[in-house]
Amino acid sequence: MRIQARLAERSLDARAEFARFLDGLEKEGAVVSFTGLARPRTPDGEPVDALCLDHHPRLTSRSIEQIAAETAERFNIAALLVVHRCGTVQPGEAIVFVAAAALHRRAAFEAADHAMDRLKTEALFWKREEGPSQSRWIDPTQDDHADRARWND
Amino acid sequence: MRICFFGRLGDRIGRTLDFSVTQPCTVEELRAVISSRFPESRDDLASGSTRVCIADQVVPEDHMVEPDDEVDILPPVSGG
Repeated sequence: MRIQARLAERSLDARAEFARFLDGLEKEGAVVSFTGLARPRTPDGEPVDALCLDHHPRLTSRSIEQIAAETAERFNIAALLVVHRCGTVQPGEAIVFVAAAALHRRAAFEAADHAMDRLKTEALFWKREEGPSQSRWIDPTQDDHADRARWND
Repeated sequence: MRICFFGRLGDRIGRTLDFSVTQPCTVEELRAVISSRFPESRDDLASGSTRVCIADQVVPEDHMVEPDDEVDILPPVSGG
């Protein structure tokens, strides 16, 4: 099983990551990917100039590696890739990329879905939205927590 | 000791703080001492959701902090 989870400090090219992920596959019949993009507006409709992701120099990598490892252990997949930005992200740019490959589609869909729900609530980032007139630290939403709770046995 | 603050705590207090205590103290006591110096961060510092790490491990409130420790204070995460 091929598992990779890493931080991207400057940019994240989702197309290139997906192409490389596909190149590494052998007999899998299903590949699912997700790309999260920085939205240009807040939930209240205010413009966002940038999204700043603060991180810990070691523990943040460890947190996404742990999420990837536990996801791979839980679902019958052959490969999993998690790439997550840190630092400053501009609206429209990719923040996170997840890809999962399996023999069949159900495991691939579930692994990607599970990994994202865990990343949204547990990954060691502190996010701040920068706008023209103010900045705001972001907490996981009720929906994020509800999505995470779906996976509790 | 050197203390690193992340997230909104880093915003308010600064990323790093060189801090001295006059005698060995527990993590709980350290939170209180920092809070007395930065009262606007008292609630976040006292919160059970704010974790204290030493050598990249979360430590309990009764852990004794050494004068040359590097302490990381992690407020509740935003997630990814």
